[in-house]
Amino acid sequence: MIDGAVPLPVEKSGAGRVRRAHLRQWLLSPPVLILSVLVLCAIFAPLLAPHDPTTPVPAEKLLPPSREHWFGTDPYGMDIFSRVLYAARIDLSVAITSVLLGILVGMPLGAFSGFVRGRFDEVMMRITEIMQAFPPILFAMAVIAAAGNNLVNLTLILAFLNVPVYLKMVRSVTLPLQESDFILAARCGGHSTLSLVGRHIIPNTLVPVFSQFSLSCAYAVQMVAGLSFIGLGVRVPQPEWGSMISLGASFIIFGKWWPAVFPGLAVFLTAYSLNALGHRLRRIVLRET
Amino acid sequence: MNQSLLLQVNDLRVEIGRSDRRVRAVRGASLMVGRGSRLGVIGESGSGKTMMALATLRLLPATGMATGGEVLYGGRNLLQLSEEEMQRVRGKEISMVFQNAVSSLNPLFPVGQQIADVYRYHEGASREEAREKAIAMLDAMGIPDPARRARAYPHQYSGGMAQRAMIAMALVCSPQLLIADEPTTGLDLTIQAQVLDLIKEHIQRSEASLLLISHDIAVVAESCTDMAVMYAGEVLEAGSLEDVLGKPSSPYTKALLECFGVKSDERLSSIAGQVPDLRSELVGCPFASRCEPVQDVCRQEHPTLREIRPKHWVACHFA
Amino acid sequence: MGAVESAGNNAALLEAQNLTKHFLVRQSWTRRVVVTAVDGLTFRVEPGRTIALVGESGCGKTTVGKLLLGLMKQDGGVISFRGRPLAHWTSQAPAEYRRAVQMVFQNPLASFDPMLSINASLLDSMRLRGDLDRDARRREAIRLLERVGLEKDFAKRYPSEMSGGQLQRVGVARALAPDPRVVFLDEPTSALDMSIQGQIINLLLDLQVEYGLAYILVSHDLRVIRAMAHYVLVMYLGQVVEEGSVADVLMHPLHPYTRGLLAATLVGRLNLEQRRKVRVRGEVLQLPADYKGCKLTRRCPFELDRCRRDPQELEMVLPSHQVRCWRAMHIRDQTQD
Repeated sequence: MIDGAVPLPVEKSGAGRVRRAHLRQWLLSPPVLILSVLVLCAIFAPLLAPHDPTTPVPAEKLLPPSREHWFGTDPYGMDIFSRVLYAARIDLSVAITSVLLGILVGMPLGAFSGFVRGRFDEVMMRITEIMQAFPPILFAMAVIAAAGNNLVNLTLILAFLNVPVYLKMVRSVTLPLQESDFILAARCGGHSTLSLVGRHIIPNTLVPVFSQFSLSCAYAVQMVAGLSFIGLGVRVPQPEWGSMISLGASFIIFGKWWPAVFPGLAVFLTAYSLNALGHRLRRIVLRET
Repeated sequence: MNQSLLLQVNDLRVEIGRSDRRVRAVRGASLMVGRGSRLGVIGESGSGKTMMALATLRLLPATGMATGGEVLYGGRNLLQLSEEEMQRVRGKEISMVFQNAVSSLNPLFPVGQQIADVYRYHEGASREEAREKAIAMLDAMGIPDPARRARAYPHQYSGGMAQRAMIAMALVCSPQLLIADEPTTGLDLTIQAQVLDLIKEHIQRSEASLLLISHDIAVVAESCTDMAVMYAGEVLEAGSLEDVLGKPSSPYTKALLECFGVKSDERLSSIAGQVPDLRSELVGCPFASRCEPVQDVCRQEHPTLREIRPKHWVACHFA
Repeated sequence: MGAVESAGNNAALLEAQNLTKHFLVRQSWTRRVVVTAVDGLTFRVEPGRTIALVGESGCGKTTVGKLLLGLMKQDGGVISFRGRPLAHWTSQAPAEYRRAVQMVFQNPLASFDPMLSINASLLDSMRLRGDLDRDARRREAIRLLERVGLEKDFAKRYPSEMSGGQLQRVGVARALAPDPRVVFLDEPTSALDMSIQGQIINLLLDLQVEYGLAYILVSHDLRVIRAMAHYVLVMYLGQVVEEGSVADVLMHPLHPYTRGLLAATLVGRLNLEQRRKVRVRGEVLQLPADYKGCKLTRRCPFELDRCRRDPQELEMVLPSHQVRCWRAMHIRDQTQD
């Protein structure tokens, strides 16, 4: 007891209530809804697709949208709607996986680098500069030419492009933290440098990383589609939005717009919703901190 | 309005914050600054003293708003003036200095230029005249080598010197009233005394008035002629320095004064509890939850400021 | 704790002898100067006693804290714990030393990880308590919270959801979690409201009696020093300029800097004339590394040529009252107050 005073009582924290109300409003916003639909399509593609996405049916080539084929058929006679659904799996999973890999490598390196400074930091900075000096498309072309045209390579290339982004971001968030009192306090409590970085630095960098995540995914989706468009991504007949657009592009002048437009719409909606989500997250996150 | 009064704040109310967490920072505060007098406003965190000062000069942040009351100066209610009219008041009639001087100055421009700009804006002086005036002000503030210092940037100034520069900027157009919000907090003790002496000297010399906001009674006792005590957005006691310090009548003032002294058994005095939640509407006296001689009526009825002695006001049912 | 042998009964709990620390500071693109942050500091702390370090910015008190806590290596001098030098502890029993010396920080909000709940922070600071298993640590965290006057529901809260006074109590609990012997208090109440400061100080006083803690208190607040400290060291630019019992130094300050400091804090009580006489002018100066005279040069109202020439030593002028100023007694006689 202090001065005979009663232990201070707890007041109901209103902050939790506010956060929950925010969350609800946020979950029902257009970007989140669109993204959820896309993710569900990707997951449940086998159940939702009315036709086989990879077996060519020459007799049915280039049919316009109808009740049988909602998005029409492509030059090989395959149902575009089914292909768009299956393609979602590839585009989304490659994009998300590559960004996650980039974070997994970039975040701890960035945090450690920003915390210990010195030679390790200098070396890391030079490495990221070299990594970022590569023009992305040329780099992708070189790797695919050397190692082959498959999904794994695609994912690794995109991960490589993401590592320096997250490394630098996490490092810049770490730099001011290094001086703070709570780090000093943690040292007094017996933390080693490694455990300090893991327990105290990295959790404090999660917030900006989180808000950057969906922006990176939007970029990755566009990269996957773009690379496939120029022939470096997935091979026919695997369904993938970019290669579908590429295939369908030459038919637009013949008035057959559906093979290119529908996958294009899918890319657009994915990129838009990821971007919008990212911006909303940034606003919420920056306002609350 | 009484001619010997320079500034009169009546029942000012200020709210701040986003719609879901709106805080009633000032809840009906009233005070008066006489001509040639120096009023010290004492308050702890949550007292609303800074918000009140900002509201007076219409400098509240975007999420803040004066929702009631009036601020009378020169026969006008400052809360009702247009922004253009207010701009003519700020810097010329009423000036303000803030706590952290180095961050209150624009880091991109030399200090002398910032002072000169104020002078040019209000007095329409030429660039050359304004430059000389700025150097003269820096010199008057006791800054050595003022011509060279005028060309320096804020980050090249130490804390104490930056505060002097800010005071120079505030006084360059000889305002009638200087509002100083915690002008010495964060400065070294030996520098604090210097800065306070400086402010007092210049105010006295130009026969202007001072509104000094602080959490430190010693600072107010040193520099002011009158004192007001704020708590949870209201003024609980106000009067001359001798009256409020010598004959404190609000239980909060008395408890606070005790905190500044040392008890006989070398323990420090404190006030149990905390400032009430300013987001909700308060019933009764704001200090009721922490007041020792509290009675039922204190929790039910809100005490208004009344004059218990000539020029000594207290908001308490039992003063 | 493990078995510890003291180097004799006279050994203080924590002792610093001639502690020195330099920093290389970049003044401009090409110039770097050596700044002596701590210059020959000597003191000792005993269980249940408090020594106070008083000074303004640049006096070195924060550096002293980091040196004592083993967060920084000194450039000269020895720090001894229970009679054995720090080097011994860092090689033989680093965890034991870490546990024994803890710190309470000035700004409570900055001293807690915003991502961790109070409970998590307290548990995090018990890393060194090898003597407690997980359940015991959880119970200890609750016990500490209650001991500092907070209900255990506070454990779930986050630092941003607490007031300054409440969070500083947690700061005290956190410092106690490793079961220390010495606590470095870095301006523990200066960021808090006046009406709350007493709560923290009185808590610290109670805990000192209960646990026999030794405190090293950094403060510029005379009330706090008077209430808590037994012995005081006045520091200026890394040097001790005056030291002695609290009663002696605060009631009868001898060094011009101490006088100026006290005059500044007793603002309102001394009249203007008296203050003018002892006023310390100007600001803290950056002095060249080869300057050997008194560091208060150009600020001291009593300065003479000899002050600038000769290095000033700490001398015992009265029983247990030392001053680093050859004119101290003379000034005292001149300014009878």
